[in-house]
Parts: sequence; structure tokens; C-alpha cells
Amino acid sequence: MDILKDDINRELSRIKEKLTKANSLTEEDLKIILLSMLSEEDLHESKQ
Amino acid sequence: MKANNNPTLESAPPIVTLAIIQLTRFGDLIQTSQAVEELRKNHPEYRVILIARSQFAKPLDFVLKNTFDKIYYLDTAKIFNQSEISGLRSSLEGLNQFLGDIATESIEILINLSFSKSSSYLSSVIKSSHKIGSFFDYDNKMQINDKWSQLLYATVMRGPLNPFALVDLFKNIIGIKSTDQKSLPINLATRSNTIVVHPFASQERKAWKAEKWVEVVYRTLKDNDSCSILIVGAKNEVLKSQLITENPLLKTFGHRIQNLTGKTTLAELSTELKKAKLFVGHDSMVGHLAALNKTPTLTVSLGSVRPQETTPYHENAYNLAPRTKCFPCFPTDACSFNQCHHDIPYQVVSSIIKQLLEKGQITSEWITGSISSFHISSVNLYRSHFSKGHMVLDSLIESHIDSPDIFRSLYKIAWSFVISDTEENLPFPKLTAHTHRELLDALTGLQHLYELAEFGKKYSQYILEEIASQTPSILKIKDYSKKIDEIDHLQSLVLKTSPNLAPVIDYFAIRKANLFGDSVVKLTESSYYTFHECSSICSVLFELVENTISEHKNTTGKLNSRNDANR
Repeated sequence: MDILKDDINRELSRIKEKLTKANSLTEEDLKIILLSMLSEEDLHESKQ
Repeated sequence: MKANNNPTLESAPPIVTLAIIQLTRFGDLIQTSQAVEELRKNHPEYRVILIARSQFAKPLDFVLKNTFDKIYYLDTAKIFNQSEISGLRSSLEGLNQFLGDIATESIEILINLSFSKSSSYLSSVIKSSHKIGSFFDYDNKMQINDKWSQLLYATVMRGPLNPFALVDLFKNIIGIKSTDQKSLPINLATRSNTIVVHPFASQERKAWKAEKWVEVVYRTLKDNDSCSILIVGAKNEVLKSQLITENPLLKTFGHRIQNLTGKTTLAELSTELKKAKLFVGHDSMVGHLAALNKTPTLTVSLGSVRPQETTPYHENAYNLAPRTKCFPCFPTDACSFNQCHHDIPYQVVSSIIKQLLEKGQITSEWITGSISSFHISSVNLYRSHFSKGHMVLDSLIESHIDSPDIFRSLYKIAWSFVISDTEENLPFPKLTAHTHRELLDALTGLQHLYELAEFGKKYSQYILEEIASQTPSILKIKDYSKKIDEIDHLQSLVLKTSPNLAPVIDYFAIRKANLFGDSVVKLTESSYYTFHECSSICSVLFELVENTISEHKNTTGKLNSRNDANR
């Protein structure tokens, strides 16, 4: 399994939980979301 | 205390740094560069930096380095390099290093021009005194605080009713005051008699199949003895290009066709475009590169392409678009037949090429006199010109001015007036029975929107009065805000009966999602002003539509002293 994907999924679940509890995100959380977006875009780009 | 006698220290103004985020592809980067170029002319004192993805920005260094003081390349291959071994940790380190480099800049204004989710998150983690364009806050809510970015978000790639070229929207977002600039005439006589053809696009729905391009190339070479054709494209388009060049129909013209697909860098392609007499192709980065080199362009728009948004940004750019009912579509729409591909006859393209090579321009009279009405009935042909520093697309076939063309003209006047307080003088559009009926429908929709906005103002005011009273009632405040929610819902329903009002409804939905303030009072005040602005734009549009209809009724009779739509 892709370690990065596993890590990102775990972190995104944690961030989602934070948001469900109406807690604010940290800058680190935003960076993780950004990395997940960039990796998704890279994957999409490589398929084109 | 001693006075500072050092004149250099006293007079040196601080350098203002603007950072532009543009994470999307080549074409968007070129268009961003075109917008920033004008900023550089007006404000050479600013330091302008670009933050872009390395795979798109590096091949365009030869353009971008002339426009930007520094480029920060977001290199995801480098960021994710170790991720398979060390997972997220090493990627975070890579991202932090990239952000650390940017943090050495003292950014006064950060402008996000790409409107993707990733660019919005990137914008949120870069330090800057002011932010323009979309970014996420710490509640993971997207924020867009400036009106031109809100308009871009509400109208670009949403439908056929955005009247602004993307470069002009970028200029408005950045805050560039454009003025008319005299462009020097281009001497095409010294150029080689070559046509650069890029018969591909990023999506299949935006490009013809090879057979149709074979016909265009065949007719062009047959009709124009001395010209040659250069086919260009990316490495992944080599096979597609061979379907054209190796077609038996073109065998006799083999010596006049050169296939450079996959063989040039972008810098080399730019040099070829600079030598050529004409560029012909679909909506893609190559057209924008041709515009930079002042090479005349003819774009064949298909599928989800919106000519008003992405026509190459220069004088005398021609754009041929189908009049297919579903054009322009959305990239996600299912389409198996591609009717719009069939609605542009290849004969029209080769006739326009011949005329452009011989005379250098296309006029309405030439179209009427030279192209069969059978061929022209299903197309629209636009030509660009510049007015007050902004690009305008004129329809060259007057009888084909459809309702989106009319509404775009009216929206251009209304948005420029309401957002930037500038006046656009556009001529009255000519109406047909169909477009007349559509304008009448819009009047009813505008009246509904206006009345709802006035109710919105009223209930916002009630909330403010209740809060200001000696014993504010929470129940009453809740009731009033429930009414405002209902008004928002009813405004969105107007779309069903008046689809031409989509830009107004979408724009105000975004305005309401981005109200200012951190207290009920401030948010309600912001809500009041947003409804007020909605009333104003509805009034302006109502008057414009009414004037257009009156002018239509008068055309056979009296002459008016003033013949622009916003009198």
C-alpha cells in the first residue's frame, strides 16, 4: 500500500472529526489538505 | 534627537511586493503573464513574484521571466519524492521548505488567480498583509472577499454569459486601470508564408477529429499555392498528428506540410509562431503563444470552450464558434454525438484562412458575399478589438446575434458600472423576435429579483432595529433571519424561469456566502448592503433591457440622439 495515501487518509479523518466538533483547524491541518489536493491533481495529470 | 540627513534613506520608498498564485496550466500562465505585463507598465516600482507549478512554469520561463521578478516553482515531484518510503512526513518537510523560501519575501498583497481548491489552500498558508482571490480560513470555509474574484468565481466556466476575457478579469482582480494603447501595425509581409496549425486540445470534445482537419489542410494548400503548413503539438499528440499528415488525400502536398508535433520546446514553438503569417487551431495554449508573438489567430471553438473568455488576447483575433443549442457545454456533460463538431463546416474554415492570407482581415460584407449561407447558418464568427484597454469580441454575422450575445453586452455595462464605477459605451444590440421575447422574460425575472432584494434589505433592517432596541427579542431576530433564508431560496428559484439571469443570482449567492463581520450586527449590515447592491444591479439591468427593447421598437422610425445602450 502507498504509505503517503495511508498517512493522508488518516490525517484527513482526524481533520474531518475536528470539523464535526466545530473546532478550528491549524495551519498544519491546512498544509495536509493542500498536500492531499496536490497529490490527487498529480495523479489526475499523469492519467491525461 | 538628530535629524536624518541621509537623502538616500529618506527618499527610498519601500518596495511593494505582489505575489501572484497561478497553479493551472500553460494557457492560464500565459494569460496571467499578459495581465501582469500591463501592471508592470503602469507600476514598474512594484516587485511582482509568481508562484506556479514547475511542470507548467519552467517550459514557459522564456515568457514568464520577462514579466516576473522572481518565480517560485511548486515542484510536487520533489515534494512527493520520498513519500513512498517516509509517507506524509517527508512531503510536509518538502512543502515547508517551499513555503519557507516564499516566507523570505515580504508580501504585501497575495493574489490567487487560479481558483482551484489547491491554490486556495496554498493561499491560506502563505503569509501576506492582504489576500485577494479565494483562500480557506481556519474553519475550512472558502473566503473570497473582493468583488471581481467573486464575479469570476460566479461566472467563468459556468455558462455562456460571462462578457469578460479571462485576461481582463485578471486585470480587474489585480486592480489594473487599463487605458487605450496604440498598438503598432504588424508587418506580416516580412514573415514566411506559413500557417501554424494546432489541431488538438486538452479534451476530445474541444477538438475535431483528424478527418476534418485533413479537409481544411487539403483545401488550404490547394487554394493557396505558395503557402505551407506547420503542424504542431505535444509529445502525446504525435499519433493524432500522423492521422492527418499520413492521410492519402494529402499525399500530393507532402512537401508543403511539416509535422513538428512533439519535436519542439515551447520556446522553439514560439519562434515558429513569430515567423508565421497565421495561426489556426482549437482553444489551447498555442493560440495564446501566437497572440504574444502578434501572429493573427483563427480559433475553432468547440465543446466547453467559451470564446469570450479564452480567445487569444490580441487585436484581430478571429474565433469561429458553433450556434449549437448546447454550446458551450460543461466539461462534465455527457455527450456522445458532439453536434457542435458537425455544425462548423470545414469549408468555412478554409475560406477564412484564404481571405486572411490574401487580405489580412474578415469583414461582415465579405462573409455575406463570399460564404454560402448554407455553410454560415450554423456558426458565429467573432473578431476582437480593444476598447479602453479591454478586449471586446464583435459578432461579424449580425443576423446571428443570439440572446447570450445580447445579455453579455448588457452584463458588461452593468458589472463595469456596479463593481468598478466605469462606463462602457456599447451599441444597442439588434433584436430578433426570439431575442426580443427573451428580453421581455428577463424583465419579469429582474422585477422578481429586485423585489426580493428589497425584502432582504427590509428584514436585515428589522434585525438591526431589534438588536438596537432596549429589550431585543431573540425569537424575533430568528424569525427575521428565517425570512432572509427564504428570500435567498426564492432568488435562486428565479433561475428556473429566467436562466439568463444566472450571473446575477450566482454572483449574489457568492456575495452572501462571503459577508463581512464577526458579530451579528456587522454580518447583518453586510447582508443589508449586499441586498442593496443586488437591487442596484437589477435596476441597472432592467433599464438596459428596457432601453434595448425601446430602441428595437424605434429602429424603423425616429433616430435617437444617442445610440449607446446605457444612455
